[in-house]
Amino acid sequence: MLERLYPNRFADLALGRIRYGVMLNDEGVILDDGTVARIDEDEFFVTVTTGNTAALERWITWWNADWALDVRVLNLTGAFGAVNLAGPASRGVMRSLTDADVSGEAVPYLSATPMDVAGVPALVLRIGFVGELGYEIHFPSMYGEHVWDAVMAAGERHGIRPFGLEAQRILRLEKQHILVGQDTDAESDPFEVGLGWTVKADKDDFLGKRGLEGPGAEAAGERLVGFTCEGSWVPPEGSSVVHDGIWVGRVTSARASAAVGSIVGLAWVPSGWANDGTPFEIQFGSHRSKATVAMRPFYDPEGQRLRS
Amino acid sequence: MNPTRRSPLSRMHADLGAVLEHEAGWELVASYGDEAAERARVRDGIGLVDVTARGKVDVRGSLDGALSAAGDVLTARIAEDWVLVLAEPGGEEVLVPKLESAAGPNAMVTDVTHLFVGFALAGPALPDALARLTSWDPASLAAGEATGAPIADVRAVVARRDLEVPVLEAYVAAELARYAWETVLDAVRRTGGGPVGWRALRAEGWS
Repeated sequence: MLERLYPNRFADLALGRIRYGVMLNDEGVILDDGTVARIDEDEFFVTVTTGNTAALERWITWWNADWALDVRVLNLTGAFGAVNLAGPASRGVMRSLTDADVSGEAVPYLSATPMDVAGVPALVLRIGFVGELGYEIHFPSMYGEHVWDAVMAAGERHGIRPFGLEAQRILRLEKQHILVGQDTDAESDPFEVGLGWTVKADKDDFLGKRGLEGPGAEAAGERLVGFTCEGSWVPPEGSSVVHDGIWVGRVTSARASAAVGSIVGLAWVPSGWANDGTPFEIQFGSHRSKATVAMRPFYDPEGQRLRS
Repeated sequence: MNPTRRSPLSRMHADLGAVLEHEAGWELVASYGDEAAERARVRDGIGLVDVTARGKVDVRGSLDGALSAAGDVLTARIAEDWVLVLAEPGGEEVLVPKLESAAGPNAMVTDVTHLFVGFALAGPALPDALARLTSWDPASLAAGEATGAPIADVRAVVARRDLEVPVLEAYVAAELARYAWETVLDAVRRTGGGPVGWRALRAEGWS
């Protein structure tokens, strides 16, 4: 079923391992993204974006009925609380919360490991939307207050602080991680947003395959690219990308990044501009700013911190 | 470390003056301070109880094997191939392996204790309270049966039971807990009832 739902491969996903995936509609347009963890030989733990859960449940259930596969799907969103313990000190905090070995060798990047955390049975995912060493701890939701209090207490000597969505938005931009629905629209395919590597065209079939292989599919007119921006003005989402005074694209996300020391963001530009260092101009009302294309993550481009 | 499980409604219960007790790792509302009045409310009017702590096991697929192994617990059969098995707090820890073993490969057994919050409405004024909460006709459900129905515009699994007083248990998605509790409690209060603790419900033979 996962082989049909996603353009990338899941049949060869090893037990206890996680793989990122984008889900496409029949036309090859990105519907959603998330992770798939193999937690047993025939059991997978699938995450989707927060606002899309109900729609994706209907989508998956509909296709499951159509394909008549021997698969059962259960939406367990409310059954699990989740805490993303992120940052270079997160391993030290985890060591205070569990007797399990949480070293990089025992619990490597992109692994899914069941273990007790603060005395509660949990599934720990080594994934990193914010680009740092991190442990996403999923646990039965009604232990929520207990787990939160235990994590904060264990992290006290490491200087732990809670962080919210705004910090997450900056951190994910520094990594050029997309937000489906914000950085994509009703026409975006994986190649246009730099996720062509998730498409395994040699698979027999998957939802969206014919759309991606259709006439003109390879000749994308636009590309989603990272950019840095001069000055301190943060272009609002929806700002125009202009060339000789003509609208040619738009900014989807932008924030001031202390780590990069600049404004960073994502924008749709003509595909021919998708090269490091290409200069372009952003306009919003009377505001104008010079920007430069950056095709690699601004922060930790090799992913060494994630994998540590 | 002794982890405690709390209903998402625990702070609302605290605001109502809940007297707490612990059972199977759960924090339960024993009463809201006047157990005798709460028993009278259930016996003569209507009471609303947060029964989220119930063990809840979802079984889908071929049910015969699992149902034969369920034993003396409440089974809310929602469809031919779907049943929600309801147990005392902590009962899911015994039920899940037992049901998995009995069900075999043709059914999926999932501990959904934390997926749903549960409410029990108990008392002779139950029909009046439900009339304020749903267009669904509870009389269409026989005692001991279960179905899916809207309660306060929220999808719910409902199970009807007749004890010393009529009881309807409703299970809704945990993320909707506060909205559902406030709405149901408002309807219960307009019917002359109010919140009651587990002790008042158990006094009527509920388990």
